[in-house]
Amino acid sequence: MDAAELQKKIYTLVETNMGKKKMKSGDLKKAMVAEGATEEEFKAALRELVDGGKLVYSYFGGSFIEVPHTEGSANPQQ
Amino acid sequence: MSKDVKTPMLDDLEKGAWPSFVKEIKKAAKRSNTAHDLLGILERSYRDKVTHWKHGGIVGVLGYGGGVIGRYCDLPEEFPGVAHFHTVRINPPSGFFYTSKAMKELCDIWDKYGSGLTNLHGSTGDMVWLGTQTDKLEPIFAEITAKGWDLGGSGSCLRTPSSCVGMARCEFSNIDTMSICHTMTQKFQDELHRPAFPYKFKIKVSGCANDCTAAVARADMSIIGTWKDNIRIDQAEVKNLAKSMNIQEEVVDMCPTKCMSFDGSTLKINDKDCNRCMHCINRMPKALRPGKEKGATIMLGGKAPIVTGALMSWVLVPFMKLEAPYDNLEALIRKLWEWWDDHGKNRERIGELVDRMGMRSMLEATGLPPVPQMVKAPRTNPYVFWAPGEVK
Ligand code: HEM
Ligand code: HEM
Ligand code: SF4
Ligand code: SF4
Repeated sequence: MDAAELQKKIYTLVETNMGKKKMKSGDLKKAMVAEGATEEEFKAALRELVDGGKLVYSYFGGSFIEVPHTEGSANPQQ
Repeated sequence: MSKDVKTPMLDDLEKGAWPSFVKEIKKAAKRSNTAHDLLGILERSYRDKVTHWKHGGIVGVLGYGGGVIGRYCDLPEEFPGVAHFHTVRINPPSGFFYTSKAMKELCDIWDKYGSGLTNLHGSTGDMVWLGTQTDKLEPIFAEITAKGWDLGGSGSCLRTPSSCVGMARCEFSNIDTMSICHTMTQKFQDELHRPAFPYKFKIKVSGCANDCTAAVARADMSIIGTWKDNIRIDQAEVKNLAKSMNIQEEVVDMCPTKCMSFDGSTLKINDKDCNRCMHCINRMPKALRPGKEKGATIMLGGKAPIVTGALMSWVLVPFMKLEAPYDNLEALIRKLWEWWDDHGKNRERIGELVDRMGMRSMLEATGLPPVPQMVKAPRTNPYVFWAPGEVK
């Protein structure tokens, strides 16, 4: 799958789920593999997104991927 | 700096003969406002009998999903020095060997950006730096990486692998624990820094069954050095030791598998029944040595109680030869991760997944043969139940 397209799909999936479901890296991978991406393509795309600061890792009893927003203590979902 | 607070309850913890964390925090408080307010909030917590810490959230360095544990206090106006109190994990050298120069460099970085308080080493095996603020994280990261260091793991990822001092200092080591630890750390950089697992995964490497890293109790994958052939006996040294110790009582009678005998001059071991527990070798290190065919027992599933109760690791591979670059070990770990990734629920450790799905599913996924040594504890079911179609 085209890298830019894959990144867009991952970002959209995280964004549309915000406030409803916290997405784990594994959830995103399964969804993208179902859409035809390989695991390696997915990993590379997610890494690009995180290295570029478009998505960030968060921790709430486990690690999740989120669109960056207010940090830690100010997080409304905490 | 915030106003001085009286800390009568903490002061009580300075009494007595033991080292006191209160004394150390007070020392650090002379130079650091973070350490100073830490005293205040601790006293307050002891008095109120509630924690004033909050945790979680988005905090770390760009690109990494782990290595920093975010902590905040719920009384930031009163204790501004600990409004943020993040922990930084530094991946230590294998076997925890530092030069004093390296140690000084690390401490200088920490004094510059944090409370100066450390934990060497945390139970994760990392060098732990306690108490800094969000805006200090990128500068800390830039300075440690410039000196060749890196952050450790936190969150749902491979945690910083750790090992005992192994062959560097210990004659008992059957495997090069430090090399295994270092090699796995390098091979799995992605898994360490970019959390993609259902939950945490720990690898600890001990050179022998004395298990100085407590791998069996603490690591999802416990790698324990062992040997396959016979214990080497120096009978002359046995005779010599018999003059100063009671070999029958202290060694033979204490052998858990009762596979030893001693007639007053010659020590015999039925190695087929020996479970390589190390007791006799610990007691008579001059007379007894591990065999020459060395490798490791690979065990799976150890963890502390969080979601379900504590588990001890159990045998997965009774004997694996471990020689650099350890591709056999890497392949096994990757297969286990794949299976866990496919089936594990959020916050489910791999040992819990084996409990839920059964050994058969895990064995089919990894291609490992079922062997009698796979019993989880004495007197539990040693049987692997086959799918009807597989029975010939
Ligand atoms: C009053 C009669 C009996 C009592 C009170 C009794 C009690 C026990 C106990 C307490 C255990 C140990 C269980 C464990 O540690 O998990 C055991 C094990 C066993 N018993 Fe009995 N038992 C009796 C009769 C029998 C008879 C008549 C047989 C066979 C004909 C038998 C065969 C076994 C076997 C095969 C084991 C397992 C041994 C092992 O795993 O090492 N028992 N029994
Ligand atoms: C076709 C007949 C039998 C089958 C298929 C069978 C199967 C089993 C299985 C699968 C276990 C292990 C259970 C576990 O560890 O969770 C077991 C344990 C045991 N069986 Fe049987 N069994 C049979 C007949 C018998 C008979 C006739 C006796 C005694 C007279 C007996 C006595 C025992 C005892 C004492 C244990 C417990 C052993 C222990 O855990 O220490 N079984 N049996
Ligand atoms: S686990 Fe064994 S080899 Fe490692 S330091 Fe301890 S006694 Fe030595
Ligand atoms: S290593 Fe343990 S089981 Fe083996 S002979 Fe020595 S004491 Fe017995």
